[in-house]
Amino acid sequence: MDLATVGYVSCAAVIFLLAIRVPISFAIGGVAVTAIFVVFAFRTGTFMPERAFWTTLSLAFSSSFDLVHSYDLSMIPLFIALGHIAYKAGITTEIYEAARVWLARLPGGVAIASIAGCGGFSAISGSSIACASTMGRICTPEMLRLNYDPRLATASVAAGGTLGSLIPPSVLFIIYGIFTESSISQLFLAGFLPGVISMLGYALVVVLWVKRDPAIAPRPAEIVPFRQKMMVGLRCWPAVLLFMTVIGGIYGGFFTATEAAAISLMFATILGIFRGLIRVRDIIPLLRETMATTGAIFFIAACAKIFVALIALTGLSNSLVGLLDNAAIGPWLFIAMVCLIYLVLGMFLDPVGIMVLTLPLMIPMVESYDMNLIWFGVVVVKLLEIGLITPPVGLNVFVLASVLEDKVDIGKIFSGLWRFLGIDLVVLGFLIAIPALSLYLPATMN
Amino acid sequence: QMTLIANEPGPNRGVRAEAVNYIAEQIGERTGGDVQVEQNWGGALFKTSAALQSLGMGVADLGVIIGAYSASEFPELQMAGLQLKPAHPWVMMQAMYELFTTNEQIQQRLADMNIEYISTYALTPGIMACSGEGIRSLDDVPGTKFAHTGSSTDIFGELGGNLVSMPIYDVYQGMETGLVECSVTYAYYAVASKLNELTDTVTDLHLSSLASLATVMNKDTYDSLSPEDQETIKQVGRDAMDFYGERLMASDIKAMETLAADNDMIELTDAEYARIHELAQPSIDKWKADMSAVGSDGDATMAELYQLIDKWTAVMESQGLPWDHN
Amino acid sequence: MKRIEHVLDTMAAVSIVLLCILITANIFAREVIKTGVPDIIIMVQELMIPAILFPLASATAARGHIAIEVIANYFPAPLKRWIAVLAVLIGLLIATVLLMAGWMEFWKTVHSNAHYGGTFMWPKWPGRALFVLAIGFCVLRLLHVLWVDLRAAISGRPAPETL
Ligand code: NA
Ligand code: NA
Repeated sequence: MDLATVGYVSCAAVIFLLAIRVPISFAIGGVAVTAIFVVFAFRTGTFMPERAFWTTLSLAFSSSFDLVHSYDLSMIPLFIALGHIAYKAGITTEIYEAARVWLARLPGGVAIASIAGCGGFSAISGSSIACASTMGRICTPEMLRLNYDPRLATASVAAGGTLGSLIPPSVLFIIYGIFTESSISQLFLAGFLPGVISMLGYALVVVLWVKRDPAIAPRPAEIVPFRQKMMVGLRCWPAVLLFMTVIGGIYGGFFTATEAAAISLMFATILGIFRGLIRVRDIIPLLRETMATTGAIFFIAACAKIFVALIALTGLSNSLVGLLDNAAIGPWLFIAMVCLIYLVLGMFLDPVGIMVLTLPLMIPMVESYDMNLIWFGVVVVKLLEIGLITPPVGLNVFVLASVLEDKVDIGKIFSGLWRFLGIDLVVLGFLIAIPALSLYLPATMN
Repeated sequence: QMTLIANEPGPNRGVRAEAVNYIAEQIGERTGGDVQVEQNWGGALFKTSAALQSLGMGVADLGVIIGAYSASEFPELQMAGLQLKPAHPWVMMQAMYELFTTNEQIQQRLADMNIEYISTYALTPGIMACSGEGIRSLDDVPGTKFAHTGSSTDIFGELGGNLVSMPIYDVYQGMETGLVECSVTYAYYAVASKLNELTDTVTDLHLSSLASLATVMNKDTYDSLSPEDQETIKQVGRDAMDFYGERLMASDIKAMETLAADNDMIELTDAEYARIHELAQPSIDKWKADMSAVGSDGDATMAELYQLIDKWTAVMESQGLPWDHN
Repeated sequence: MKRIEHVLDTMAAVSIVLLCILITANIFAREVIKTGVPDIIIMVQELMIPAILFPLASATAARGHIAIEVIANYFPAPLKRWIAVLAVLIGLLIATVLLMAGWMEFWKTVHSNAHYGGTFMWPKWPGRALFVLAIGFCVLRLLHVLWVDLRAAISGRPAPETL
């Protein structure tokens, strides 16, 4: 059996195990370590189990340990804790009250407000996972409380979470910039408009969906007088203050986007204490609840990391990208194939893993077609973001499912997501067809 | 017929990537396809922090290790990551290579770690790139915000600088927002990462050129090859140093020109350079402690390296650099 | 077991508090006293291990590892119960691999001078020890889940929702 076949069989095995309801982390991790052992044991032609055993252990350890032992990812547990604390400190409920009263006439107004909230959060965090987990903790319970359909309440946030890497700052653009030696600030600027367009697209999905099926997003029956609307709006000041502090801190040069998580958490906790909504002795029990979900999320991510190593060992991504190199095709077909490859890989692998596996081979081809690397970067990041919400391995969906206390079935989230995936493909088409959407801002800012 | 799995922690861009590619291609070419290399980038298999032990275990057969990430496990390599006496990057590579392929104690240590030494990489000396006023004298250091991405910045903390800890890829945005003003970097990297678009001054620090990066091979894999293939790979490793050195120097000259075009290039006084050198001493003492912890004699090994640096400096001065007389 | 997991979860929560305080202190220190907290990156990295991995055992006990239920919902109950056993076995496979790997790493670092750079030169073994501890209790819990689910599959009675 050749190596790429081991890769394909592993993907099939993951689908099978996920389908029969084996937990996601177990399925990905179990298949990955087994297949890695097989690859190492047979790689010299003769069966060498002993060396393969130690090698597999070493690879499993470094993949998972390095993922957890990470300064950058410290923002994820801190942001998840923020979602919890901000809720207890009354910061989030007030915004939802305001969104409910102010957007009463808009179909699915609160879901649209959640998507806009994701867009706002994206401006302070570079990670889609952090975005989905924090906003999932904040928005989805509120929407469920307002009797929104669970599919809408979850899918809107899972999709909204993908804005995290398009709207700057963005970890994915930084990695892309390193791999292509293109300017990171140009990439950041390039991602802004596509992020806003995606956000509008998601809002459009909500409006159309609710128009067709008004029952999924009940509108408030009472007529709220303007005076009261103002009052409700003013009560949002803690959230506005928190957001302005963090935005001001990052763009004013006081702290990095990674550090913003800790500052926000500290801010929300102190505010909660001052308002008498959180007692100091409640903090540890509160965080104890939060952390159980973080462990499960990181365990999936660690197993996904081991799976990336397996794909690297089997050369599966190389053989996929290699298809492009051998085919003498025009630029449009090339881009279409690129999209297809990223969508397929996005079904199984995490965005960073896909980038390190594909970009080294992909970028020289892109250059040979004389395509703009900044524009291509936006297309790639959009494709990777789509991968976060496609089955079977959709990290944003898993994260969202983990942070919700009343478990929402993952199938339900995916079943709400196909509409958002549809608009994503439309937006992707626009981004490809009209490079100016990406390149206008970087050009004007120079 | 054998395929080596190779892991490079960095991207496939830049001069080191060219050399990594060169090694992979040359091995395939010169063994007539007998030994092929399957190159992975961006740490797809493991990150730099796990490189030494992963290569020893055989997770990959070939890969780059960096001294700073295993300073306590492999201080012999990290020796070339200290502020030693200044030498040309090519001289540093030749001296390190000769030391690592002739010194018996180091040979034993390599065998203990189950790795075979193939090639080495030097960096051009670090420079200080700043936005705004910059460092025109060491008196400017107190209160200035430095991106703290590695030990080479430590001395500026000692001098009263405000060290802002961050991963290296956050430096660009940090400088853009004003979170940091200065960063110790390399001319080539400053231009490649577009940091030069944000900087106004570049201060020469008279630091040494580090050579604590190496390509190593898993020893079991190496031993399983035929003696001819082994010798071929060794020769590729030796040639890679010239290949890399030529490109490193060319890109450094080009990058320095780019920097000089829109930056104020600053030299400090001799007294200040002496002070910088003096402040680097504690890190050498720490390193000596690490050396004794692994049963090696720091002073003796360093003396041997210094001799080799002198030897290869003499070679360079009498014969010129290898790529100059081709 | 419950009590140990409670302690582990509490330690994870304390780690989060420490992370938050350390990073905030670092930001204020460089604004106020013009110098950051030394070795902040290393300390954050080390704290991440207990913060993230310590709750794994109680998450396992609460059956907190999420799965996709769409298709499996149509399976008959006995099949579901045997699949649950298979799932735990696969979980045990990956967890045991990580436990052995962690132990191997811990053994290496504790018997050497391995330490990080920086001001305090923190040793590398405590992070590995915390990793082994977290995964170790997770494996114990998985063994417990295996026992419970296996009994349920054999007896044909539903297994308890949480342990
Ligand atoms: Na963002
Ligand atoms: Na996916």
